[in-house]
Amino acid sequence: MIGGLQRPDSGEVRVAGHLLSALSERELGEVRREIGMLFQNGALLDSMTVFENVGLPLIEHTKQSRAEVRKRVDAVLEAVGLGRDVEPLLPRELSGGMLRRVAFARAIVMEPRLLLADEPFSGLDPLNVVRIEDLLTHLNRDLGLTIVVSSHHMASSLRMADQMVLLHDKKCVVGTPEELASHPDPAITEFIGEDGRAYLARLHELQQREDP
Amino acid sequence: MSSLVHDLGARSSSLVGSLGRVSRFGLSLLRALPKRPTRFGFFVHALFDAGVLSMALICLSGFTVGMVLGLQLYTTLTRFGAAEGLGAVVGLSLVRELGPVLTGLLVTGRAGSAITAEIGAMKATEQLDGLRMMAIDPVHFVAMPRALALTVAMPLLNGLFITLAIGGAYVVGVNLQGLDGGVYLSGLENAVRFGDDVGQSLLKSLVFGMLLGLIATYKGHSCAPDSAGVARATTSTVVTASVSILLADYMITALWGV
Repeated sequence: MIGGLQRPDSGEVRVAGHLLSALSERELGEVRREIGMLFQNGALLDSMTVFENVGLPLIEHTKQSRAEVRKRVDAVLEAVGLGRDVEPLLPRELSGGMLRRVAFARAIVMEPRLLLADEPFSGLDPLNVVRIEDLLTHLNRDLGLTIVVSSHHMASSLRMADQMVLLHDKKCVVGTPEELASHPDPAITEFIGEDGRAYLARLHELQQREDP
Repeated sequence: MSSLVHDLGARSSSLVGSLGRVSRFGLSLLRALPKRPTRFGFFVHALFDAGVLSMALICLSGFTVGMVLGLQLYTTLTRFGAAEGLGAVVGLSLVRELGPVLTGLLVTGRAGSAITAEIGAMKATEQLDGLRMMAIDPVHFVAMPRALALTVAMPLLNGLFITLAIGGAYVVGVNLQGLDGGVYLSGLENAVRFGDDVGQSLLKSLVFGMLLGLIATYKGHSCAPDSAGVARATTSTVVTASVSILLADYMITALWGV
């Protein structure tokens, strides 16, 4: 809905001051140029190579030369931990983790102001979860990119988020990870589960280290 | 009784809604046609898939239909002592009716269904949403080149089908049944008029190509995003396009004035 792919039944969605429900599909296109989206299953075009997929937004929306596109594609692929050797491969030839990282590269190739990530950790092994988490954290902390992550992966969400919104029983519960992990409503803490208790313990440990 | 009226109303309303959605999609296809950048590479690729890869089927079917037509008509015409009219009857029936209609139905099964399945699979795997999120219009990027390819391929395949079918009828009528080759060809040449018959054939195949392009891409774009939805859309393309081709054939024939 934040990307304007679905219209709300009621209420309104504003992105960077734009009221999405009032925009036509063409105007939405202008807003979407500022948004990168990481789909749950990558949503890479399966008839195109990795290079063509990642370079597609640049070819479509900029006047960059082929050499400039190649340079930028190389750079974003390197940023997500992939080499030039994957560029001629088709999406079906990639592993799940590689596919997610290529999709990540495509989402950030236009240097968006906002990144939407739909379940970025689902179906990944622990090593790739950490990789994706590090990438998201780096983009947010070091490059100042606003990121909205929709996830059921509590451990990663608690570690990464500044603000969390928990959808529970048709209600939104908003707060920092610490507030939600120590929420007075047992239904919330039960939903967050063991990851919440581990997060609080780790937070407590860090605070004790800082104030001995 | 009231439920019957209710059902009838609901079905009529659904039909009008569907027609409206197809028309809107058709308009968006037309609007996408002159948009920049031109999707020439994708068009050539789609033309290869829909046209070149259908050639073997069209050649084989055309030649076989021609052989059957030659055999049936030669036997029937001989009964009336009019075997020398074989070239004229074969030519007229193939150019005016059988060529465009059978080519339309064959291309529907071979290429139209494949295009629906491809676009439907792209929808089910969120590739179309991915394009929209990159501010790329999926109708311009995916549907338009394929619909245009079907429109261009259909008249060319129709010409190929008719040529092979005339050849097939020649082999049976002349080489197997003993009719004079010159009589067959001169009958064909005298009966088939370029403006009237070939023009009608060309118009029909062009319309059939446009119809199939519209239906195949629309069904792919509008299918439910799961495997059952893609399967239903593919079947629906074959059924809807086949019926549309047969209806359009009658309407063009009637309007042209036979």
